[in-house]
Amino acid sequence: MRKQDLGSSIVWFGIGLFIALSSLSLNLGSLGSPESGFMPFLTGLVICLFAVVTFLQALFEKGAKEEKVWTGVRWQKLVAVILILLAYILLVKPVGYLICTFFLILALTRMIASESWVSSLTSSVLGSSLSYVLFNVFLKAYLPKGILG
Amino acid sequence: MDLLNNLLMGFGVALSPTNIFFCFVGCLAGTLIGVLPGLGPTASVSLLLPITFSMNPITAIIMLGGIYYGAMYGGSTTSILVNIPGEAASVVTCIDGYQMARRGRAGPALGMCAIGSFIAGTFSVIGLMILAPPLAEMSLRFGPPEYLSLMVLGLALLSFLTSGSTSKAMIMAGFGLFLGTVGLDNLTGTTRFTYGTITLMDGVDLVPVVMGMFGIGEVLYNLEQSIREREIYNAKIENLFPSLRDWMEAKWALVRGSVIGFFLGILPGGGAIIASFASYAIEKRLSKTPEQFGKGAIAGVAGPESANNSATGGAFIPMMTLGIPANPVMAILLGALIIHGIQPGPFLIKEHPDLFWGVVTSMYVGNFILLILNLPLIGIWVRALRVRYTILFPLILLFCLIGSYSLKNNVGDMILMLIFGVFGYLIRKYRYDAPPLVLALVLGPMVESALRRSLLLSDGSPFIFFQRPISAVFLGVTMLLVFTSVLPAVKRKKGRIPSEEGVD
Repeated sequence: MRKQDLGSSIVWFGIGLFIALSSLSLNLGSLGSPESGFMPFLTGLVICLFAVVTFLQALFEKGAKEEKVWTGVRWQKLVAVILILLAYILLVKPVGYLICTFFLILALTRMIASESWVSSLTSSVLGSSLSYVLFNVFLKAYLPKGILG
Repeated sequence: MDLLNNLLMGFGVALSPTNIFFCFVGCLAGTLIGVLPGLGPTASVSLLLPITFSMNPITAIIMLGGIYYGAMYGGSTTSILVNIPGEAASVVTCIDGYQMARRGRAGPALGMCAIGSFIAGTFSVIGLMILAPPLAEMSLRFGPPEYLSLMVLGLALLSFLTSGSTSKAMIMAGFGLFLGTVGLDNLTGTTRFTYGTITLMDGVDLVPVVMGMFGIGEVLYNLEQSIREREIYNAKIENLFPSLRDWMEAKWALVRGSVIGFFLGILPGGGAIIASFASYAIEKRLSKTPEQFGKGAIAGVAGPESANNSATGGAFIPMMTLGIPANPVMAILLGALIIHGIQPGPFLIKEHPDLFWGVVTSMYVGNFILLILNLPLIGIWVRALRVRYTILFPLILLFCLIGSYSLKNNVGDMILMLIFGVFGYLIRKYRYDAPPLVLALVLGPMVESALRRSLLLSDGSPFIFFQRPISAVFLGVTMLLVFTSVLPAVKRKKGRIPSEEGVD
């Protein structure tokens, strides 16, 4: 994990620094009267401190086995899942729960998992209708009706 | 007499038809999710948390508790039959449990798990009943400095005990504390890090974070490679009730496991995991036939299984008495209590005795339900093991989406969950542990409040944390943990450089 740790610790140092600097504009107050920026400022410093420790540990870690973190990762599938979820999130309110959920499960089982059409359609019909009954009818959760409402 | 009266009150609550029903549903759902691939207790509780939003708080916690120990039971089943631990605390069970299954003794292994867990669970419930009230009394004397030091110790312990690097875990804890500050500052009314979004005004909610990190993140991690279905033990499972010889071999392992598990479970930071490993090590050391360990010794199943279930009960103690969760599942339960308008802490037992005693006694009822569910219905769980992941993962994603949406009927929470899903996937790839972040997110607002109040009390002197004895002890242990885990490691690595360069 050496290279990955070096890289990730730099990213975390940047995040910590960003948090600490942003906190300054929120007013730190004083030790006797800490204000809104005080706690986030401290957390930013903690992140920076341990990012430096992680960086140093990785830097002096010799002989460690290098792992290839991204080898063999099916990027297309991952990006496709994230895009499908994003589309669902954006469409569920205007289009409605039942329709969106049907297509969500269909897309995931057919496109991502390469299930057969029969299996995908069955899962989509059962998954969307049963989850609607469970959450909307039994658990009284509000699920958007959309164009069916 | 007080204890007896309280117990009677607790059973009155736990044995109401509604609570028995939801305890049963929780145990059933927990066991089912526990045996399904890719979901552990934290994910199980996260996924089913939204179901409890419409319930009253007692029923909600009873059901979530059932899900938690149900998932722990389910995890053991997968350890024995598939050699894949359902959760970290069942890792040790794989060693001898799977070997027993391979030798045709899956039945006694599963039986010993269920009965051992029942005995240990019962022991821990009794321990919880005896220890929690005096501890709550004692913690009433805690002021903000003691609370702050205790919470910092809890975070440090969890970071110290995580599987990976302590410094990475501390980064996660720091980030979790930061997330806890997002939103409206309750003391001054200032908005922090909201960037004009309404979703972040109320702060970063626990539900989208845990669903994203443990649900979406887990699915993305499983999907990144070709999906390999699990190889499942195929022979018929017989003789679930262990033989007299099995009992003789396992009896002291059960007792020791229960005691070790309970006390290690109270400690913040992965108590159940350490308890199971500690129990295995002790049993192997004390055994007259240590060479049998790793080849199917029943004591190697009984000890760790009773330890991890006993730890489950122990973990309720700091949550119920101090309002400080010992592990991420407890952090989610604590979040659930807060969602229901109940503030856990030293006053919980006094202000909501029905909740405390109801939940404690329901655990006893739950243990009994699990025994019934796990022994006669083992065939169903074996069948559930065969559910294909390709069918399962869309449902996990759907549950995450509905769960985060139904919290406030807010699309923004779903977006937040997706962001944390991708974040959870990335930190898993880079070996950063998620539990310290979850714990810190829950503790964040309490840590900030205790810190600011302590500094106001001391007129700005940070030495207040060292001048009060209890706080000083907590902080002393924290510093010891941080120094022993971080600095010597750096020094050791530095010390190694010359010789390695010399070799080169």
